[in-house]
Amino acid sequence: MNKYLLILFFILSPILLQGQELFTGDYTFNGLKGEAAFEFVKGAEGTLIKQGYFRFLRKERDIEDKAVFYKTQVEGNYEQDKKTGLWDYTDERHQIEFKDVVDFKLISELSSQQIKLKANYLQGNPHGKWTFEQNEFAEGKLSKKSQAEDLQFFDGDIRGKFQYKSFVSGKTHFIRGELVGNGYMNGEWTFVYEEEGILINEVRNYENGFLLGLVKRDLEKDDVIDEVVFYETIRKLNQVNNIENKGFRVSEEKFGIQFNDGFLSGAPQFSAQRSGNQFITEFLTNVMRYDEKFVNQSGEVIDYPIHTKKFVFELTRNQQKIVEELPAKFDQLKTTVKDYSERNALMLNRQKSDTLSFAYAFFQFQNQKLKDFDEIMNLIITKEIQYYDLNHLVQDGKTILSETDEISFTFEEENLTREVTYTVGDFENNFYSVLSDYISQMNAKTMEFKSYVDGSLSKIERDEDLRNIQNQIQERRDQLDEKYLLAEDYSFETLELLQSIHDNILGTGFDRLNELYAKEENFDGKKETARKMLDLLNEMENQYQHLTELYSNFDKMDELYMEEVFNPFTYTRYDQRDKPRLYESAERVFEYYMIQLQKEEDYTQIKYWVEKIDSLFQRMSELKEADSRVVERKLNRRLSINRVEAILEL
Amino acid sequence: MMDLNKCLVLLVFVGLIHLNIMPANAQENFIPTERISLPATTESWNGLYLKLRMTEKWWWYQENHYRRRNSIDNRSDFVGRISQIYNRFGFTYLFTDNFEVTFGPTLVWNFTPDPGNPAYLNSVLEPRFWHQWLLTQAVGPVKILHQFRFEHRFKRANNIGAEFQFTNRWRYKITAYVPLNKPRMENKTFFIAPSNEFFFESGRHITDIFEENRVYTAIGYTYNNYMFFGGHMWTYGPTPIPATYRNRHIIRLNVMYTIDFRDRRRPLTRDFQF
Repeated sequence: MNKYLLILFFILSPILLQGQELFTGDYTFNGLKGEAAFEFVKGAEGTLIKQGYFRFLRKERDIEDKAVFYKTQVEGNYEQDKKTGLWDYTDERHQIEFKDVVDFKLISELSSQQIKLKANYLQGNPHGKWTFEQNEFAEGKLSKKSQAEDLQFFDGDIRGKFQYKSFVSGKTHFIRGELVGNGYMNGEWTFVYEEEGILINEVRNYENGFLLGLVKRDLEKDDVIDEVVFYETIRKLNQVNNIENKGFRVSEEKFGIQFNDGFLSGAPQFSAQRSGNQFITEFLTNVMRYDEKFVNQSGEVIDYPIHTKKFVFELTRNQQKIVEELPAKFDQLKTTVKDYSERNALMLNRQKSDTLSFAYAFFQFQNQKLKDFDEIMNLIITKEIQYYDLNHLVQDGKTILSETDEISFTFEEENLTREVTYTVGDFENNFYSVLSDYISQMNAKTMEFKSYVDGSLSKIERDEDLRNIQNQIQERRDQLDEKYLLAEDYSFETLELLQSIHDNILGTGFDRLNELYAKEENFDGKKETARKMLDLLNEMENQYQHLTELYSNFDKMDELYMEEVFNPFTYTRYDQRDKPRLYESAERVFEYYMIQLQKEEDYTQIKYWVEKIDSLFQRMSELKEADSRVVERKLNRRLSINRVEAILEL
Repeated sequence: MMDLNKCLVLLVFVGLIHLNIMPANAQENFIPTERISLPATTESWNGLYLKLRMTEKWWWYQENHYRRRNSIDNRSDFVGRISQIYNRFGFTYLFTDNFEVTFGPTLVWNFTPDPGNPAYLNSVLEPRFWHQWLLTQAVGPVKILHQFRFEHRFKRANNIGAEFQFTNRWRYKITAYVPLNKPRMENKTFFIAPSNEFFFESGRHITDIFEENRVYTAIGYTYNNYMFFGGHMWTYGPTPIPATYRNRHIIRLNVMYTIDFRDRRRPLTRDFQF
């Protein structure tokens, strides 16, 4: 006992001498819950400042899959709450598959993944040598899955040679390159990875953070799959090198691994980098996962220790003004369009006139159209636009500035088309002003339609009852649309049935009532029709569950009328149809009812058919164990459905 | 369930004892100089087989056959003369799905070989008592049947004044049911069923214990309570004339029918509710 006390004294004495305290207990490290032991000192207002050694251990079973076990071990040192010196991380995921129990001994199989990382820090930033390896344990064997040796960090950025290898199905995938300055990609970077079953060799050429070109080859066939040369970037770099650059310069900022000189996400210069960058990101996610500054708790890389560069473009005073003002103008337009595209009163009353129908279609169209502006507008809102070469941007972006929009709509069951026209200026030379002008035109058109809609619906909207009913109808219809069309967990036949009933009742049937509603001028008449529409929706809600069960109940009937028999000639047991004539007749009646149900356009009749089908099942259930020989004798395939119904007493 | 191998050993053992206790052949020894094979004859056999389930274990078994053979002057016409009316009855006890025993009487009318000839009676009765041990096994989708059948026969020739003679018949048949359109033998299954049956005979006047070998290839179809079954059978075996063998080509057409007479309104075995 005394011996242990002495050891404890020696361990604790340096801490006590320095005013440090020891924490042991539950602790959350980078979102992982476990137990930690670390030294700390108390700062101002009792804040806890980690100072000295730090150990963390997590042992956790997966919440959903109890056969999965996680283990994380972290060991290192803090200096004034910042990581310092060597840190050791081990992260393991174990999957246990239980095979058997023999003589009270468990026979199981273990498959695991392990990540081992040794990292050096200075004042909380990665600094010094890092080594990373990822292992896999399967069938009793530990094998290496990926590795990165001698990564040299300097103040949070990687410098010098970069090499990462991963081993996938007997093939080596790798990234090899060089980083200069504050972690800028430079020179030749080579990637070998698999994409859609093809082993790809990608070679990129960087010039101090600027990507100049890339070539992708099918490594096995040696065919060129993709080749992109960034001519504009090369031209601008030459201008900078010759000090001939006008209106732009190299930005001092550090950017992520996606090089962008003004490409929208659909541009080939953007998409060509996607696979290679994904491969680097995968690696960085694994390596930087213990540093919240780089990888967030959802496992996304939020900052990179590897960088690219961009040019920054000067904006005139007028352009700056547009950048400042356009987001608010766009936001207002978007809000109005969204509001009117979702407006219940407009949706329900659109059949009142062709202009109102067109207005409804216009807002739907405009809502979609504005989504195409989001990417460019986002660049303006975040001011990222200053790093975008407008020569690229106008090429990619001009398709969204259409001169004529053809808008189709339906009025009184007739398909109509009308045009909305815009004036598009010289977008290539006046990007900001043309964009601003176009949005102003969209705004003006939107306001015209808005005024018309407001005028037409003002009376209706003033009636609170009607407004409430309208809102209720639209909300319930949206819910039912989703229920009938987005159902997934049913058989193909059930989904087909739901689709037909949706089209006939919630589509055609509802639209007919809606037309009546829109054209009704008298408020009481309007309310009466609205109540009918609500009744239709209620009925569809009530019948939904029954409709989804019809085919599964039929399967149950099928099963009920199968009996296991022993064939005394072949000496085999199998399921055989019991009372086949009765069953086949019921099957015919069921098919007939289902066809009627799928064709039904009157919502009040849905219940009628569902009840008929239920009573068929009920009767068949009774007849299964009853002496049904008399009934069976009367049945044959030539009888009409009415006659079969009569014999079955339906 | 009874072990199949044990049953086979038991049956062979019983059979051998039976053979040993039979009196030795006291007939004169005839040593043939060469084997004579008679030209093939033809026959057609049509049969109805019934299996009626009385209880969980007991069945009523019945076969009724109408058999014809070729005319005297045309060995290939299959149906020239009536040959036999054959009625087999029995009770079957089903021990397991793989083993059953059947026993009962057989009444066979054997018709004259030469219709109109006053030297022969038109038909004579051949009563038998028979019992059968049947074992089955499944080999993948194929069902194999081993059938051991023993018949104790009182038989006479159609000649006027011929006497009844008692013989014992020992039969072993192996049959395979091979499903063609289903993964296993079940309802609505087309199948092919090859079989081979060996007949041995013993009795005071029997000179050759080998009686016949029948090779039968049938095709069939199971449909609810019915099974339709038919094909070609070739038989080969000795005649009463020493060293002389006959062979026959027989077209067989059979209908099997089974019905369950147990109370059909037994409680449901499946949990079912709409």
